[in-house]
Amino acid sequence: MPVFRIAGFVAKLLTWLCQVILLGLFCLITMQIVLRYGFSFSFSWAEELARYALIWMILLGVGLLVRLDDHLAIPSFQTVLPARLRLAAQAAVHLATAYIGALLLLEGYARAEDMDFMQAVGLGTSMFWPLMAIPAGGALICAFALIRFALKAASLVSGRDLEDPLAEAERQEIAISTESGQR
Amino acid sequence: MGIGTFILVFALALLLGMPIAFSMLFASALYFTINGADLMLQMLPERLFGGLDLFILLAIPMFLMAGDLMNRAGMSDRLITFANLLVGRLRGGLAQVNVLSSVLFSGVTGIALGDVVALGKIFIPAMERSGYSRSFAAAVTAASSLIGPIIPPSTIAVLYAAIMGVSVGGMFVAAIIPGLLIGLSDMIVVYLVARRRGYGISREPVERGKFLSSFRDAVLAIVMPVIIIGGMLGGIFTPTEAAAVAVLYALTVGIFVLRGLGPADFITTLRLSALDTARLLIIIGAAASVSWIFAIENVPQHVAELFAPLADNPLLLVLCINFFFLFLGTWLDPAASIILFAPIVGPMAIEMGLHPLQFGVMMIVNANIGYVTPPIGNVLFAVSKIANVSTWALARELAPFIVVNALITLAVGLVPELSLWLPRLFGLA
Repeated sequence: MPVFRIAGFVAKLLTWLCQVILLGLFCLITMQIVLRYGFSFSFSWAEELARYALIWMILLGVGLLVRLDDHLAIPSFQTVLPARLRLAAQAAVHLATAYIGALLLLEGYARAEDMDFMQAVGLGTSMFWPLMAIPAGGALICAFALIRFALKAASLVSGRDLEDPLAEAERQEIAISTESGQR
Repeated sequence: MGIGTFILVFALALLLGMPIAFSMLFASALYFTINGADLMLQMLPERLFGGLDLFILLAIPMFLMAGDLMNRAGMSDRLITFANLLVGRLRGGLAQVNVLSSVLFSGVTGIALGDVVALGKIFIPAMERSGYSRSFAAAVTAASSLIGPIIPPSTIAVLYAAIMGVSVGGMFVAAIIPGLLIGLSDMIVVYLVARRRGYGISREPVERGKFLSSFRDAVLAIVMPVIIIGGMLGGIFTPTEAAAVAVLYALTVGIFVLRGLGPADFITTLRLSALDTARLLIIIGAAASVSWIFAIENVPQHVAELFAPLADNPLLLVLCINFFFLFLGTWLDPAASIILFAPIVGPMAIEMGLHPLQFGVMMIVNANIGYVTPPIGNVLFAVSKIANVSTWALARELAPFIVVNALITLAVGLVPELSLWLPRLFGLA
């Protein structure tokens, strides 16, 4: 389905972005150590940039995890429910998650706009961009949760547990990647 | 909507399978909506942002990266070889090797699940082939994995330090003795069970050359926490910088010494660490909204009043706090229970005589037990899946290990020297 392909493409882009941010964070912190001990100097903006970049990475990652249905949760109660009730519970959870995403998107954007006048002390830029991490994450949470809600609602109607095949494949790939560390 | 309904909504959302972070945000949003607190609802995203805006949290993705890189470089296998040569000839040899490998491995990884995944697949089949019951092999793997989040570097210790405003270096140092004590106690339990069931020793011959090369590998692993703690105690690095240096060290060892790391491994590590960081830290951000509601509802004051009659009885106080956190641990993720309730119970416990580092270590050891207790335990589920044994069979075999962990938790609460002797030695307490 095109919606799965679009979601998959967005997820690939976000994964790449998260990797770049994490690499950037590592380089930034290491650079600060080298500058401090090698040149008795450090950039005043580095700490702030690292903090805000981490928040962006977390919020983008949270969106990715919603798509993969891989957040820390307690699934044991769901597993003892009869199939249809389980699907209903899953659909309800995804819908509630989408609501949280929408809330973060709308209220988060409003707060980011409100705080536009404030300056990040070290970076010297408006606080709008750091705060935009919340609505950006909210949009991703909402969109991916709605896709999962639609899947579970369709499963409920058809009686078959439907999944996004691309997200499923990615989940498997991550599991294999985690295990491939064990040599 | 009062605090009771708030907790009910939160618990219901959790039970239905909603992610922990979203359950917190959902219950908070509902609380503000029903109570007509529109302004607070509007400020919810800002609370989330504020909860994540801590420099110290940057240490967590770095520690996760360092652990994953060391693992990918083949460190776990090498540590097993060393542990086998060291304790393989004790009663219950392979099980002892399992525990000691976890102790050594905990110096490079700060999470219990990392340890389980890394060591479980190697040890459980190997122990079964050597005559151990599969459920006992799984239990030893699960129990020993609990050392990972205690011995530094520990992500959960960083979280505690961040929310309670104590020194990360102090927490790391304070956790060393209790962590080693758990390792030692696990080995004693293994010895006793092995003697009763007649489990044998490992027959691998100890050759001098092999011993020396595996000793070198073990030193490479042990040096990592030494660099981290030494750098922090010496005032050379902040905890976040120490974590970045750990990544640098893991890369250097992985590429040039162990020659087991390639660019693809590094990219995979970046991907997995970014996702693991998001999975863990979003709970911190979401917990900020819950803490806000707890403050509005005067929960810390109520808790203090509840525990006030125990002020003169430290044993009862420590027991009550531990039962409370043990109860939480049976259904809530350890990180979540510490993030949510340490700021509430902590100040009261500290006022009644517990040192913040002592309280922190007690909490961490206690919360970790939740990883292996039914009905909900991440490590319990992970190991039962890897070993293909039922969670109840596994829980039964785990019982003596859980009792030992619980006793050590109490000991940490009642004997301050266990957690404070080392920090005092370094002037951190």
